[in-house]
Amino acid sequence: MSQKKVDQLKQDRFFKIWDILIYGAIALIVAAVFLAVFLTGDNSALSAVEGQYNNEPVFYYDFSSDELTVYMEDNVEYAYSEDGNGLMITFCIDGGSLTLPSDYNIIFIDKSARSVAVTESDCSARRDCVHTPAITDNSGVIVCTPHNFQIVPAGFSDIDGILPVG
Amino acid sequence: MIKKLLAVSAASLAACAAIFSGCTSSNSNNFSRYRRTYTSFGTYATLVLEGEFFTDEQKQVAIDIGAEVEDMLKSFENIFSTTVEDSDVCRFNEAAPGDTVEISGQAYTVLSLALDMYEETEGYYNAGVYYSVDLYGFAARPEGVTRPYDRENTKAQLPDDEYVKAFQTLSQSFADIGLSVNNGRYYAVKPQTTVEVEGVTYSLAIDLSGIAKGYAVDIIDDYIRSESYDRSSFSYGSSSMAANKTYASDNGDWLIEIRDPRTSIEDDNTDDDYFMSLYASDINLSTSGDYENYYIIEDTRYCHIIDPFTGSPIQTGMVMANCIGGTAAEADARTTAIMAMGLDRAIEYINSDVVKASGLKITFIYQNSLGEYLLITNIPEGEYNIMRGNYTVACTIDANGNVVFTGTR
Repeated sequence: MSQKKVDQLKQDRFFKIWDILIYGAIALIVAAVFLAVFLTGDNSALSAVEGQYNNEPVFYYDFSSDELTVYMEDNVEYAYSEDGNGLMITFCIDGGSLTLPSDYNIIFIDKSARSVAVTESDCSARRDCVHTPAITDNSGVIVCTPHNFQIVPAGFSDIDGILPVG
Repeated sequence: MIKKLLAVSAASLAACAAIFSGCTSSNSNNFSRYRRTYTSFGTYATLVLEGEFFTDEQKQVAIDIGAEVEDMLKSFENIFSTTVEDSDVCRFNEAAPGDTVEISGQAYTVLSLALDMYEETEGYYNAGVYYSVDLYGFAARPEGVTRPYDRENTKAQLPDDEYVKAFQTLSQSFADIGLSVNNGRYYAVKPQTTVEVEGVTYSLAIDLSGIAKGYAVDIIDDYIRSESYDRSSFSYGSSSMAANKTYASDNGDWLIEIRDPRTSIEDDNTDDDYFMSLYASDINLSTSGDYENYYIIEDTRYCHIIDPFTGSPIQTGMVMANCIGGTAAEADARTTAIMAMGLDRAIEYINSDVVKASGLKITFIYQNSLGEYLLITNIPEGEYNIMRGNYTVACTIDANGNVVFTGTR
């Protein structure tokens, strides 16, 4: 390296002012994106949840009225906890078994915490649905892809503008 | 360097503007939806209301509407169900030939419409096929009821031809139902026609549940719109639906996605359950298909849709029919009829004056002799999107607006 180049490098600042401004602008974009996502997420309290199998309702639970509606009776078994604060729902897909059980998801609804979680399943080795955090507000969702089963917030939630037909 | 800074600054501002303007351009984020599902007529119904639900008071209004809809659904079931013993339909079915049965105004309205649709579709929609539907194991019955033609395993063993023919004959008396109004009371007169099989006499029995679901959609849609929820939808099992507007798009259009009728057997490793989509708002629609309720015996599919001219489940090659426009009740009857019509008669119907005059958009899928799934529609190209490769558009629309079949039969 020439002496001239060495001298120039010594004179250079670690950051030039323009670089700082550019990095600041990038940080602003990141902050704006974060705020947009955070502010528009629906973090309102969970009022009801719905289990769906093949995009059709399996069960519906309303926290306010403490009312469980089961749509696919052959696929669902449920029991209330002794203290009445919990509701355990066992769902099995068509061809599964509620008595063994097999091809199943076990869902726990915590009434006082207004939360819903999948606590057990034989869907796959990874059991992503079991490891998905509990739904505690209207932004949460639990999906079990192998069973084509999902739990979504019901009642009040974000609009999506999509209507499935047929 | 100044240019570089200006460029980055401009990009930053543009990005921020885009992000925040995107949040507000359609106002969609000022609104949320209230969604509630119900069980009714052996399936589920879904109410969606969109609005500003920030306060408890605003939410309570939606919840109250949801509760009112539940009451309305119960009342419909008490009139039209074939499982509620004292429903209007059950009382009519149990009445003796020639009897006059007093029915509710709503039953009168739906029966009148069913007779109109019988005429419009030249008998392909026929609500008098209840015994045929029951014979093949698809009808809902009051609990504990058994019938002489019951088989050990209904969905593995076909019924005797004698019953098939007798019940087909019986269904043709549907058009002979007499309706009258006297001093604000409504009456239906049961036809005199009877058939006898194995020493048992049968008279006409009707199943209005299909068209009654559409009627319920129409009435509930009127109600939710009267409560100023013009951004809303109501559907029965996603087959019969009123779709008003949505806040999700600037022009209020919904993205309507039509279920792939062969998803379960056409495994192409996709999670996409829908084969066709289009944008629409302020419409009623209905879909019928051979995939909703069926069983297979010796490679033949037997579905819940009965061909009134054979008395057996349709074997017309028709897989699915969708009708957009008119009332939901009419659309229910039309899609059922199209499934029974078969390819040529269905195209004739699509090209008929009544369909054109009503501006109906009709789409159906036909499986041809080669096993291909052909899509026939009077919706102009460009107004819909096909999402799956195993469906081929097999028609054009000529200068007169007529659908012309271009595929292989």
